Amino acid sequence: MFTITPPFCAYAKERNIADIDDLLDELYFNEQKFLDELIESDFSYNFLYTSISYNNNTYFSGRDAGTNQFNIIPQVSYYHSSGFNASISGIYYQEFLPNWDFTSLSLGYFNTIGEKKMFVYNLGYTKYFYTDGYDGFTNSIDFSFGVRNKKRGFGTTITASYVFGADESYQIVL
Amino acid sequence: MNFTLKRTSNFAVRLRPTVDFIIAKQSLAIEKIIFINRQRILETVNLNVFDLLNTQVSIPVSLSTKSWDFEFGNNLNLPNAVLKERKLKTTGFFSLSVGYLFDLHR
Repeated sequence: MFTITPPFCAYAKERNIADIDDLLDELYFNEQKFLDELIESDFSYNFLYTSISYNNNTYFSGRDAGTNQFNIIPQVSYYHSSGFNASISGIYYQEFLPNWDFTSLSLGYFNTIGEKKMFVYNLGYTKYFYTDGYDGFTNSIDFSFGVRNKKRGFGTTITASYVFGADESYQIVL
Repeated sequence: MNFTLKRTSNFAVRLRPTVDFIIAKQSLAIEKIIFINRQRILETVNLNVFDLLNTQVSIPVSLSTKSWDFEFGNNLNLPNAVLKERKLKTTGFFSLSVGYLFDLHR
């Protein structure tokens, strides 16, 4: 007999740090305006991003837990050109009880390295508040480091996470 | 990877396929039969393993305007069996995301 207890929730289709620069691109993707903004404001930014994601099925570490169910992930994030970012999110499962599994609060610092901004990193902390009082993994410290080519057509990111509470674990995503 | 399929002054359509390798420490509960004084006893043993758990391939297409963005993605999981897990089947799901960006700078 064998069971596996994933400390991490189903793959959450949230916006993550690798998407922040894409968001900026989307905000300023008219290049002329981008240049104007760059001159006028030294490319400072300050925005809220709200999103809601729907996944038509739920798997844990890619594994079928035997329950076919959708999940919904709302998210509100704040990004500032100082590098500070914060978000509140959570996840709703169709079949699990309670349906609302947890609410998470994240704080982070994002920055780029080099004039061409080919390297990006983010340091973050997330606190999880589980509806059912689960206390196994209620905190996460995450470090992401990414490299991309000049035109941003290709890139790779490594994220290392240490999760802890009454229990502890760690994860690397390449 | 990030392929811009269409880009005008008002919107952009992008294809951004990703491959994620998820490597994590997991706690595994394994039940095994042991013998104590010739009696069969089922014992649960907790083991920790640090290994590749899943490879996820995502192929999202996004449509972005100045404030809105819509994303439709097809996701494929290729879970890797660890320790005594039997061969795991490939799983997949679709995702839809709608986002709105409030620019507080202006």
